[in-house]
Amino acid sequence: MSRVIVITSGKGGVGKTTITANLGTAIAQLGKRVCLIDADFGLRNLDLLLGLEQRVVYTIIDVISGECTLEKAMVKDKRTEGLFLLPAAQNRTKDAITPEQMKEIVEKLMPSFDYILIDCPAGIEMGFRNAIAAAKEALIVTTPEVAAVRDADRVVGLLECERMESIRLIVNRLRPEMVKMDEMLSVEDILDLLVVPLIGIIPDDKRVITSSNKGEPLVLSNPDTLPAMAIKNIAKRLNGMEVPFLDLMGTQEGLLAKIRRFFGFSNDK
Amino acid sequence: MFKGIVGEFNPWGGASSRIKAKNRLELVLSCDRAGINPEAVNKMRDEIVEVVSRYLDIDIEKMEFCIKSNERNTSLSAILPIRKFKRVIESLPSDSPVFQSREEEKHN
Repeated sequence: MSRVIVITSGKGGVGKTTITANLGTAIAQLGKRVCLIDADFGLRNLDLLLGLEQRVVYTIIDVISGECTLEKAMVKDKRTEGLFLLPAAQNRTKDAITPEQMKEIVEKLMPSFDYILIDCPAGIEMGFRNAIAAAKEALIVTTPEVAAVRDADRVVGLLECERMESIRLIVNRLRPEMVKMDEMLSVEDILDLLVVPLIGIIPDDKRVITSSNKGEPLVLSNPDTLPAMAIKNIAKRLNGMEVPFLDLMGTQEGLLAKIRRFFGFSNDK
Repeated sequence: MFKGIVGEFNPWGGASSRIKAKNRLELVLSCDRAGINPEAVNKMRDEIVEVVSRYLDIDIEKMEFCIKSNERNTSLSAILPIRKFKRVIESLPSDSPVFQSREEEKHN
Protein backbone atom coordinates (compact mmCIF):
# COMPACT_ATOMS: atom_id res chain seq x y z
CA MET A 1 0.00 0.00 0.00
CA SER A 2 1.30 3.43 -0.80
CA ARG A 3 1.83 6.40 1.44
CA VAL A 4 -0.23 9.40 0.39
CA ILE A 5 1.43 12.69 1.32
CA VAL A 6 0.17 16.20 0.60
CA ILE A 7 2.64 19.08 0.33
CA THR A 8 0.90 22.23 1.47
CA SER A 9 1.64 25.67 2.92
CA GLY A 10 -1.30 28.05 2.90
CA LYS A 11 0.76 30.88 1.48
CA GLY A 12 1.78 30.79 -2.16
CA GLY A 13 5.31 31.12 -3.44
CA VAL A 14 7.07 29.37 -0.58
CA GLY A 15 8.33 26.51 -2.72
CA LYS A 16 5.68 23.79 -2.53
CA THR A 17 5.90 22.79 -6.17
CA THR A 18 9.71 22.93 -6.29
CA ILE A 19 9.87 20.75 -3.19
CA THR A 20 7.29 18.31 -4.60
CA ALA A 21 9.29 17.94 -7.83
CA ASN A 22 12.60 17.47 -6.05
CA LEU A 23 11.31 15.35 -3.20
CA GLY A 24 9.49 13.04 -5.63
CA THR A 25 12.66 12.64 -7.66
CA ALA A 26 14.72 12.03 -4.51
CA ILE A 27 12.31 9.35 -3.24
CA ALA A 28 12.34 7.65 -6.64
CA GLN A 29 16.17 7.72 -6.49
CA LEU A 30 15.85 5.60 -3.35
CA GLY A 31 14.28 2.92 -5.53
CA LYS A 32 10.65 3.64 -4.75
CA ARG A 33 7.79 3.99 -7.20
CA VAL A 34 6.47 7.55 -6.91
CA CYS A 35 3.44 9.27 -8.41
CA LEU A 36 3.26 13.07 -8.24
CA ILE A 37 -0.23 14.53 -8.50
CA ASP A 38 -0.58 18.18 -9.42
CA ALA A 39 -3.69 19.35 -7.55
CA ASP A 40 -3.26 22.97 -8.61
CA PHE A 41 -5.99 23.16 -11.24
CA GLY A 42 -5.83 26.23 -13.42
CA LEU A 43 -2.32 27.12 -12.25
CA ARG A 44 -0.41 23.95 -12.92
CA ASN A 45 3.35 24.18 -12.71
CA LEU A 46 4.63 20.84 -11.48
CA ASP A 47 5.04 19.66 -15.09
CA LEU A 48 7.12 22.76 -15.83
CA LEU A 49 9.46 22.33 -12.87
CA LEU A 50 9.95 18.67 -13.75
CA GLY A 51 10.64 19.61 -17.37
CA LEU A 52 7.75 17.41 -18.52
CA GLU A 53 5.47 20.14 -19.90
CA GLN A 54 5.95 19.02 -23.52
CA ARG A 55 4.81 15.54 -22.71
CA VAL A 56 1.50 16.33 -21.02
CA VAL A 57 -1.33 15.07 -23.22
CA TYR A 58 -4.14 14.19 -20.84
CA THR A 59 -4.93 15.50 -17.39
CA ILE A 60 -6.66 14.30 -14.25
CA ILE A 61 -9.89 15.86 -15.59
CA ASP A 62 -9.76 13.64 -18.68
CA VAL A 63 -9.43 10.64 -16.38
CA ILE A 64 -12.43 11.69 -14.29
CA SER A 65 -14.57 12.36 -17.37
CA GLY A 66 -13.61 8.97 -18.77
CA GLU A 67 -11.91 10.40 -21.85
CA CYS A 68 -8.76 8.45 -21.13
CA THR A 69 -7.48 5.81 -18.77
CA LEU A 70 -5.44 6.65 -15.71
CA GLU A 71 -2.41 4.89 -17.20
CA LYS A 72 -2.63 6.99 -20.34
CA ALA A 73 -2.71 10.29 -18.46
CA MET A 74 0.38 9.47 -16.42
CA VAL A 75 3.61 11.01 -17.68
CA LYS A 76 6.70 8.90 -17.03
CA ASP A 77 9.86 10.82 -16.13
CA LYS A 78 12.48 9.13 -18.29
CA ARG A 79 15.39 10.53 -16.27
CA THR A 80 14.26 8.97 -13.01
CA GLU A 81 13.24 5.34 -12.82
CA GLY A 82 9.90 4.88 -11.08
CA LEU A 83 8.77 8.53 -11.20
CA PHE A 84 5.42 9.49 -12.73
CA LEU A 85 3.36 12.67 -12.97
CA LEU A 86 -0.41 12.96 -13.08
CA PRO A 87 -0.95 16.49 -14.46
CA ALA A 88 -3.63 18.97 -13.44
CA ALA A 89 -5.86 20.64 -16.01
CA GLN A 90 -4.71 24.11 -16.91
CA ASN A 91 -7.96 25.33 -18.50
CA ARG A 92 -10.20 24.50 -15.54
CA THR A 93 -10.79 25.99 -12.13
CA LYS A 94 -10.35 24.43 -8.70
CA ASP A 95 -14.05 23.50 -8.69
CA ALA A 96 -13.61 21.14 -11.66
CA ILE A 97 -13.04 18.24 -9.27
CA THR A 98 -14.48 17.13 -5.92
CA PRO A 99 -12.67 15.69 -2.91
CA GLU A 100 -14.46 12.38 -3.56
CA GLN A 101 -13.16 12.21 -7.12
CA MET A 102 -9.65 12.93 -5.86
CA LYS A 103 -9.97 10.09 -3.36
CA GLU A 104 -11.12 7.72 -6.11
CA ILE A 105 -8.14 8.58 -8.31
CA VAL A 106 -5.68 8.14 -5.46
CA GLU A 107 -7.24 4.81 -4.47
CA LYS A 108 -6.79 3.56 -8.04
CA LEU A 109 -3.13 4.60 -7.95
CA MET A 110 -2.34 3.11 -4.55
CA PRO A 111 -1.62 -0.48 -5.58
CA SER A 112 0.98 0.64 -8.14
CA PHE A 113 3.02 3.09 -6.08
CA ASP A 114 5.03 3.26 -2.87
CA TYR A 115 4.52 7.01 -2.56
CA ILE A 116 1.85 9.37 -3.88
CA LEU A 117 2.79 13.02 -3.40
CA ILE A 118 0.07 15.62 -3.92
CA ASP A 119 1.12 19.20 -4.74
CA CYS A 120 -1.47 21.40 -3.07
CA PRO A 121 -2.46 24.82 -4.43
CA ALA A 122 -2.01 27.91 -2.27
CA GLY A 123 -4.97 28.98 -0.16
CA ILE A 124 -7.38 27.07 2.05
CA GLU A 125 -10.36 26.89 -0.29
CA MET A 126 -11.66 24.17 -2.61
CA GLY A 127 -8.29 23.37 -4.19
CA PHE A 128 -6.84 22.78 -0.73
CA ARG A 129 -9.83 20.61 0.24
CA ASN A 130 -9.34 18.49 -2.88
CA ALA A 131 -5.62 18.11 -2.32
CA ILE A 132 -5.86 17.00 1.31
CA ALA A 133 -8.91 14.75 0.88
CA ALA A 134 -6.97 11.59 0.06
CA ALA A 135 -3.81 12.28 2.05
CA LYS A 136 -2.85 10.54 5.27
CA GLU A 137 0.29 12.59 5.86
CA ALA A 138 1.07 16.26 5.33
CA LEU A 139 4.29 18.15 4.82
CA ILE A 140 3.90 21.83 5.64
CA VAL A 141 6.26 24.12 3.76
CA THR A 142 7.08 27.47 5.30
CA THR A 143 9.77 30.09 4.89
CA PRO A 144 11.23 32.20 7.73
CA GLU A 145 8.82 35.05 7.00
CA VAL A 146 5.92 36.25 9.13
CA ALA A 147 3.22 35.75 6.48
CA ALA A 148 4.37 32.24 5.61
CA VAL A 149 4.56 31.18 9.27
CA ARG A 150 1.13 32.57 10.04
CA ASP A 151 -0.44 30.83 7.05
CA ALA A 152 1.36 27.60 7.92
CA ASP A 153 -0.17 27.75 11.40
CA ARG A 154 -3.63 28.20 9.91
CA VAL A 155 -3.12 25.18 7.67
CA VAL A 156 -1.84 23.06 10.57
CA GLY A 157 -5.02 23.96 12.47
CA LEU A 158 -7.20 22.92 9.52
CA LEU A 159 -5.28 19.65 9.05
CA GLU A 160 -5.65 18.84 12.74
CA CYS A 161 -9.40 19.34 12.37
CA GLU A 162 -9.32 16.88 9.45
CA ARG A 163 -7.46 14.41 11.68
CA MET A 164 -4.41 14.19 9.45
CA GLU A 165 -2.35 11.28 10.80
CA SER A 166 1.03 12.96 10.48
CA ILE A 167 1.98 16.61 10.03
CA ARG A 168 5.61 17.58 9.57
CA LEU A 169 7.34 20.83 8.79
CA ILE A 170 9.81 21.82 6.08
CA VAL A 171 11.54 25.18 6.58
CA ASN A 172 12.48 26.40 3.13
CA ARG A 173 14.74 29.24 1.97
CA LEU A 174 16.61 29.64 5.23
CA ARG A 175 19.42 32.21 5.02
CA PRO A 176 21.82 31.28 7.82
CA GLU A 177 23.81 34.50 7.49
CA MET A 178 20.63 36.50 8.13
CA VAL A 179 19.69 34.35 11.12
CA LYS A 180 23.16 34.93 12.56
CA MET A 181 22.61 38.68 12.18
CA ASP A 182 19.27 38.35 14.02
CA GLU A 183 17.51 39.53 10.88
CA MET A 184 15.56 36.36 10.13
CA LEU A 185 13.44 33.93 12.15
CA SER A 186 15.53 30.90 13.07
CA VAL A 187 14.33 27.32 12.67
CA GLU A 188 14.06 27.22 16.47
CA ASP A 189 11.82 30.28 16.45
CA ILE A 190 9.54 28.69 13.86
CA LEU A 191 9.35 25.43 15.81
CA ASP A 192 8.53 27.39 18.97
CA LEU A 193 5.71 29.14 17.17
CA LEU A 194 4.22 26.29 15.15
CA VAL A 195 4.88 23.30 17.42
CA VAL A 196 5.05 20.85 14.54
CA PRO A 197 7.82 18.23 14.21
CA LEU A 198 10.54 19.20 11.76
CA ILE A 199 11.46 16.99 8.80
CA GLY A 200 13.76 19.28 6.82
CA ILE A 201 15.58 22.58 6.53
CA ILE A 202 16.38 23.78 3.00
CA PRO A 203 18.80 26.70 2.58
CA ASP A 204 18.04 29.50 0.16
CA ASP A 205 20.05 28.97 -3.01
CA LYS A 206 19.95 30.62 -6.42
CA ARG A 207 20.63 27.28 -8.08
CA VAL A 208 17.04 26.33 -7.24
CA ILE A 209 15.98 29.00 -9.73
CA THR A 210 18.46 28.01 -12.43
CA SER A 211 17.38 24.38 -12.12
CA SER A 212 13.75 25.41 -12.56
CA ASN A 213 14.75 27.47 -15.61
CA LYS A 214 16.09 24.29 -17.16
CA GLY A 215 13.32 22.01 -15.96
CA GLU A 216 15.81 19.77 -14.21
CA PRO A 217 15.12 19.10 -10.54
CA LEU A 218 18.15 20.12 -8.48
CA VAL A 219 18.48 16.65 -6.95
CA LEU A 220 19.46 15.35 -10.43
CA SER A 221 22.48 17.64 -10.73
CA ASN A 222 26.00 16.46 -10.10
CA PRO A 223 27.81 17.24 -7.84
CA ASP A 224 25.30 17.56 -5.02
CA THR A 225 24.31 21.05 -3.90
CA LEU A 226 23.37 21.92 -0.32
CA PRO A 227 19.63 22.32 -1.06
CA ALA A 228 19.66 19.04 -3.02
CA MET A 229 21.27 17.27 -0.06
CA ALA A 230 18.65 18.79 2.25
CA ILE A 231 15.86 17.41 0.05
CA LYS A 232 17.48 14.00 -0.28
CA ASN A 233 17.68 13.91 3.51
CA ILE A 234 13.95 14.61 3.73
CA ALA A 235 13.33 11.69 1.36
CA LYS A 236 15.41 9.42 3.60
CA ARG A 237 13.65 10.62 6.76
CA LEU A 238 10.27 9.99 5.14
CA ASN A 239 11.54 6.52 4.41
CA GLY A 240 12.24 5.95 8.09
CA MET A 241 15.99 6.60 8.14
CA GLU A 242 17.57 8.70 10.87
CA VAL A 243 19.53 11.42 9.14
CA PRO A 244 21.06 14.33 11.06
CA PHE A 245 20.07 17.82 9.94
CA LEU A 246 22.62 19.66 7.81
CA ASP A 247 24.80 22.04 9.77
CA LEU A 248 23.71 25.24 8.06
CA MET A 249 24.44 27.54 10.97
CA GLY A 250 27.95 26.42 11.78
CA THR A 251 27.10 25.98 15.44
CA GLN A 252 23.82 24.24 15.89
CA GLU A 253 23.87 22.75 19.35
CA GLY A 254 20.69 24.49 20.46
CA LEU A 255 18.88 23.56 17.29
CA LEU A 256 19.92 19.93 17.40
CA ALA A 257 18.81 19.66 21.01
CA LYS A 258 15.47 21.10 19.97
CA ILE A 259 15.12 18.70 17.08
CA ARG A 260 15.94 15.75 19.30
CA ARG A 261 13.27 16.91 21.70
CA PHE A 262 10.74 17.11 18.87
CA PHE A 263 11.48 13.60 17.80
CA GLY A 264 11.44 12.32 21.36
CA PHE A 265 15.12 11.47 21.54
CA SER A 266 15.77 13.68 24.52
CA ASN A 267 18.13 12.14 27.07
CA ASP A 268 16.56 13.83 30.05
CA LYS A 269 13.11 12.37 29.47
CA MET B 1 -4.34 54.27 29.72
CA PHE B 2 -3.04 50.72 29.51
CA LYS B 3 -2.61 50.83 25.82
CA GLY B 4 0.52 49.23 24.55
CA ILE B 5 1.41 47.50 27.78
CA VAL B 6 2.32 44.33 25.93
CA GLY B 7 4.65 46.38 23.78
CA GLU B 8 6.17 48.15 26.75
CA PHE B 9 6.69 44.89 28.51
CA ASN B 10 8.55 43.42 25.67
CA PRO B 11 12.01 43.14 27.19
CA TRP B 12 13.46 43.44 23.69
CA GLY B 13 12.13 46.98 23.20
CA GLY B 14 14.49 48.03 20.48
CA ALA B 15 14.77 44.47 19.30
CA SER B 16 16.19 42.98 16.14
CA SER B 17 13.79 42.27 13.31
CA ARG B 18 14.03 38.57 14.15
CA ILE B 19 12.76 39.11 17.70
CA LYS B 20 10.14 41.54 16.49
CA ALA B 21 8.89 38.99 13.98
CA LYS B 22 8.72 36.31 16.65
CA ASN B 23 6.89 38.51 19.15
CA ARG B 24 4.41 39.70 16.57
CA LEU B 25 3.77 36.15 15.42
CA GLU B 26 3.30 34.93 18.99
CA LEU B 27 0.45 37.37 19.49
CA VAL B 28 -1.14 36.94 16.08
CA LEU B 29 -0.99 33.12 16.15
CA SER B 30 -2.50 33.05 19.64
CA CYS B 31 -5.33 35.25 18.45
CA ASP B 32 -5.78 33.25 15.25
CA ARG B 33 -5.98 30.01 17.21
CA ALA B 34 -8.34 31.43 19.82
CA GLY B 35 -10.43 33.10 17.13
CA ILE B 36 -10.19 36.57 18.65
CA ASN B 37 -8.58 39.73 17.37
CA PRO B 38 -5.69 41.56 19.07
CA GLU B 39 -7.89 44.59 19.71
CA ALA B 40 -10.26 42.41 21.73
CA VAL B 41 -7.32 41.09 23.74
CA ASN B 42 -6.23 44.62 24.60
CA LYS B 43 -9.76 45.56 25.61
CA MET B 44 -10.08 42.44 27.74
CA ARG B 45 -6.75 43.18 29.42
CA ASP B 46 -7.84 46.69 30.29
CA GLU B 47 -11.13 45.43 31.73
CA ILE B 48 -9.46 42.72 33.81
CA VAL B 49 -6.97 45.24 35.18
CA GLU B 50 -9.83 47.55 36.03
CA VAL B 51 -11.67 44.84 37.98
CA VAL B 52 -8.60 43.59 39.82
CA SER B 53 -7.56 47.15 40.67
CA ARG B 54 -10.75 47.54 42.67
CA TYR B 55 -9.48 45.00 45.18
CA LEU B 56 -5.72 44.98 44.87
CA ASP B 57 -3.09 47.56 44.25
CA ILE B 58 -1.36 46.00 41.29
CA ASP B 59 1.85 47.07 39.69
CA ILE B 60 0.68 47.72 36.17
CA GLU B 61 4.15 48.40 34.91
CA LYS B 62 5.32 44.93 35.86
CA MET B 63 2.26 43.00 34.79
CA GLU B 64 2.33 40.40 32.05
CA PHE B 65 -0.73 39.60 30.06
CA CYS B 66 -0.66 37.24 27.15
CA ILE B 67 -2.46 34.53 25.32
CA LYS B 68 0.04 31.74 24.99
CA SER B 69 0.09 28.53 23.10
CA ASN B 70 1.77 25.49 24.43
CA GLU B 71 1.82 22.28 22.42
CA ARG B 72 -0.96 23.86 20.39
CA ASN B 73 -3.19 24.42 23.42
CA THR B 74 -4.01 28.03 23.98
CA SER B 75 -4.39 29.65 27.37
CA LEU B 76 -4.66 33.13 28.77
CA SER B 77 -2.10 33.99 31.39
CA ALA B 78 -2.05 37.16 33.42
CA ILE B 79 0.59 37.95 35.98
CA LEU B 80 -0.46 40.93 38.04
CA PRO B 81 2.15 41.79 40.68
CA ILE B 82 0.49 43.06 43.86
CA ARG B 83 1.91 46.10 45.57
CA LYS B 84 -0.43 45.87 48.54
CA PHE B 85 -3.88 44.73 49.49
CA LYS B 86 -6.53 47.34 49.70
CA ARG B 87 -7.83 47.23 53.28
CA VAL B 88 -10.93 49.25 52.72
CA ILE B 89 -12.75 47.13 50.16
CA GLU B 90 -16.07 47.20 52.03
CA SER B 91 -16.03 50.91 52.46
CA LEU B 92 -15.12 51.49 48.83
CA PRO B 93 -18.09 53.14 47.15
CA SER B 94 -19.28 51.28 44.07
CA ASP B 95 -18.63 54.29 41.90
CA SER B 96 -15.19 54.88 43.39
CA PRO B 97 -12.65 56.07 40.86
CA VAL B 98 -10.25 53.16 41.26
CA PHE B 99 -7.34 54.56 39.39
CA GLN B 100 -7.53 57.79 41.27
CA SER B 101 -6.87 56.00 44.57
CA ARG B 102 -3.81 54.38 43.07
CA GLU B 103 -2.54 57.72 41.88
CA GLU B 104 -3.05 59.14 45.35
CA GLU B 105 -0.95 56.44 46.93
CA LYS B 106 1.80 57.22 44.54
CA HIS B 107 1.79 60.82 45.59
CA ASN B 108 1.90 59.99 49.30
